[in-house]
Amino acid sequence: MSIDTLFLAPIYLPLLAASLILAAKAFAGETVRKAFELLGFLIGLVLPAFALFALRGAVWDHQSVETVIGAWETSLGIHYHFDGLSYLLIALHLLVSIPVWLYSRHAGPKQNTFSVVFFVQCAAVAATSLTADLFNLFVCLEVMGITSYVLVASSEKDSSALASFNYLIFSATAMVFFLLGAFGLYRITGSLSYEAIAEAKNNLGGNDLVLAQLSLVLIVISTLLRSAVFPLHGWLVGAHSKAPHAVSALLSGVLIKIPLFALIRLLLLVVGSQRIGFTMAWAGGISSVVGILLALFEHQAKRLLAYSSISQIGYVVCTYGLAVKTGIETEKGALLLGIALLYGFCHALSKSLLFLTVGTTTDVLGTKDLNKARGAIAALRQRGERIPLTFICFIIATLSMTAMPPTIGFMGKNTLLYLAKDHASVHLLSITSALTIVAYSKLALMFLPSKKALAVDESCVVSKTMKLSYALLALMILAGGFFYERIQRFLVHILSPLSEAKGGYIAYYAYQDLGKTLVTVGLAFICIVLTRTAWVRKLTRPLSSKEVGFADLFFGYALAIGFMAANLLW
Amino acid sequence: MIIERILIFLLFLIGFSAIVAMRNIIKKIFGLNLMNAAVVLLFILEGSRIGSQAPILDDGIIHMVDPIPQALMLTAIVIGVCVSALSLALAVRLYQATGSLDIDVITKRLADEH
Repeated sequence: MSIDTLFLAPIYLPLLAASLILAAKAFAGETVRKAFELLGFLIGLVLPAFALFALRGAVWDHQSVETVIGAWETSLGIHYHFDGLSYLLIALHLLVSIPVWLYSRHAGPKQNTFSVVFFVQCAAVAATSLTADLFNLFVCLEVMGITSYVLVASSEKDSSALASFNYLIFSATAMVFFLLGAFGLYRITGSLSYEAIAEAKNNLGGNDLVLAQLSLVLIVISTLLRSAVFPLHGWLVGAHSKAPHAVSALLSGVLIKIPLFALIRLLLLVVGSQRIGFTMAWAGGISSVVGILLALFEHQAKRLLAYSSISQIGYVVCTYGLAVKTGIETEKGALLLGIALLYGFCHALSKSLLFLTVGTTTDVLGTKDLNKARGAIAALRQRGERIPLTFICFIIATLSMTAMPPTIGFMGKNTLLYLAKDHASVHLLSITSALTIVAYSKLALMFLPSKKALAVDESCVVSKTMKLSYALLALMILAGGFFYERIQRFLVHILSPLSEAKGGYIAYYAYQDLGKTLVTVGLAFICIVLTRTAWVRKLTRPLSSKEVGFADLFFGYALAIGFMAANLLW
Repeated sequence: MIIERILIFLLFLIGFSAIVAMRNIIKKIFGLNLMNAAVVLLFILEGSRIGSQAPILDDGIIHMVDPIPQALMLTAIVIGVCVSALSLALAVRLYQATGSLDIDVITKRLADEH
């Protein structure tokens, strides 16, 4: 099969899988349904993975396909653009979604509709990665959003419905503003395809330019909302911590990064993107610090992980912003973008593994409170885990998240900090690195032996599919650490046609900075001691989290729009 | 044209203020629908700047409206319906769980459940 047809496989195949499972649910009994779910897995996730494998040569040779679906005229049809970026985004999603689907087989959510919505979301992610048309981006983001709301609410707990509702109202309102932005750009440029917008926008002046820039701000901010960058982060904690573990892993690992990188195609083309990049770099830096500070004083295990996601996406957004500011067409800009995406991979693998292992552990212990949860290894052993695989995988994921060797996170974060070192916002990221260790040391307390008798939840079992999903993710984290050089070379090389740069390669090896890692650990140790003192606790009490209301969410949204618009126009 | 725009803007504001200020979740959902409707109308109004007849290629139709905004808004309306349906379903579930439609009461009653 040629590249022209093969690249659409990640959209079509999951949709086919979803419809097969839905048909089986409507017409067949339990056994057939289960068989169709497995068939759906093979069609919707495994076959697209093979398609990507077959396409690796084409993307390495910088082949790209631009097509209009249904052979419509260019001005009317839906544009898709397949290149290295979309290839990597789809790969990122598949790498995480395959283990996550396996995990969900035993741990739930168990409704048949879960798989249907899951596969529709897979198709939406692929479509978002491929789209080169503003209105289609809107549709894809909405489909991704709607599936996310359903998945979050698929937990048996009613509080998940509230988290989903808050997320829905906030995000759907922002999407109305996105439409307004699309309206502005359509009115001025007369088109919705990225290239036509960019072409028309470069010749604008006066009031039209101001209106076009404002429209662009609405679009950028509404898209960034999905990535939960400060100050648009309020919705994430509820949604990601209340969702079922498998869904949290997928949402926190992958779904927050896809819109961010899908946006690059638009930012690449329009004028004034340097200023947007500058604002994003600072927003990313602040996001990382705010996220980790909130995580530090959180006592619920999954909420801590969700806050940490806000912090980690800050690293990605900061580097991404610096790439846009430098200009993706330059060698440095292309490298920064590559590293931002690579760090996205590091975070996706580690965070999803953390959500799965921590989720299982808190289920078995029957509490999410980090002040009470102890004795997890013994509890897991009671529930059928002879080798403490959950604990081992938790440690691997934590090492990766806190940038310790020999994991992919160690290599990724150090390269990122090295590359971004010229910009002031990187200092915020360095502070966050130390605080991340402090926050994760709190999570590790769950595995200490318990002095009290354990109240193990008898209904929880660590099944074989769950172990398989842990093992897959943990292996990827370790293999990523060992083969980091090659992965980085591949990634930067296939991303380089986005720019005219040659995809230059940095001569940096993270192990040469082991001393720095030791300093970070030392600082973290001091912070741990400090957080245990009474006066620091008193001082930081206002930071302990509370539920955010709609007014807070929209205040953040207005702040982001105001700041970005001010920066772009003056 | 100006009066229509002002009316659309008012509709948009009413929707937005309902989402932010109303405590009843059903009213919030209505607010979202109003905002959506305002943007749909804005697109349709924009399309009608260049003509007034329905965009069907037939004899005698000369001044037709721009068909692209209409096609886009058809999709946006479908998405809006999906979002409304889902949010209403969530509202039903929240009401069944807490016996209230007030967002503050719901948040309070569900706060203890972790």
